[in-house]
Amino acid sequence: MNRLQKKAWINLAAITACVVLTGMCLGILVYINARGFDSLLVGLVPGLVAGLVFYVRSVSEEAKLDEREKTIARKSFVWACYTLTLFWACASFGIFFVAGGKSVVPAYTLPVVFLAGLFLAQFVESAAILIQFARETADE
Amino acid sequence: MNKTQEASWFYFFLGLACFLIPGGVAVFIAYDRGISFAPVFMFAGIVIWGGLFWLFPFIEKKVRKGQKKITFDERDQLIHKKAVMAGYVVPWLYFVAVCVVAWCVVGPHGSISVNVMPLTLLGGLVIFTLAQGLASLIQYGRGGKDGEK
Repeated sequence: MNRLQKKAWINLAAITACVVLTGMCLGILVYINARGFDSLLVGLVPGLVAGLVFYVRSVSEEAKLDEREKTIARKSFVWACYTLTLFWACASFGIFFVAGGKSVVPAYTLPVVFLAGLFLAQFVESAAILIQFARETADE
Repeated sequence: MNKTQEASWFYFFLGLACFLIPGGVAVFIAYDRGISFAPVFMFAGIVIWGGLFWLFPFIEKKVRKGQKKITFDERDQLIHKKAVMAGYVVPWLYFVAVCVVAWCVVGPHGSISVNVMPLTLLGGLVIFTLAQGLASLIQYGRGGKDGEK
């Protein structure tokens, strides 16, 4: 297993853990009816710090990849972006057309759709990396 | 002005106009008069236009395949990469901000209008286009005439 494949598995595990943890926190916040910026700041600050660390780490690791790995990573990233956009578009317009233009939805729908999109995008990116490597190995 | 700068200006103005105006008008009509043929047609138009919009680079690449002129060098590639990264980070922060603001304003048990969902997405697409175009133009602006250093 090379560096990019390890990264794909780690990213998939990390995003799964993040989504599970954030989903639990979201559920607790909804249950206790937490309102205002203070309660959200508790989850927002670690989230942003973790995101920044994750981003800096991924940028520094990208330099270590060879040309073939970079091509695979770029293709997978493009697929993830397409999936994310398509999912958000389908979810937003789907809810809009199903519920009707004058309806209302719970406030937690937005973060739920946002989180589901992120999880799906990371899943597609990791799967695309692993599938491309598997296909190349099969060709050889 | 080179091809990348032209594309940046194109995405900056035409993309904004084609996503923002029909999207805003369609949501307004749907909100004011309910779901009818007009807003559905406009949304369909935006989706089709959005698809074509993303296809433009591929079509241009195919059309210009016969011409051996190199219009995209290493520096352009680096600028494009940084611009895409800027265009990726800014909507990310925007979506987080929208979620937080909606939560703070109405609370978790509160309700938001269903129009917020497509409007948020359209806003995200506009911000992505805007951030990417702006990042390209700023990076080229650092150079001299025609972006040359």
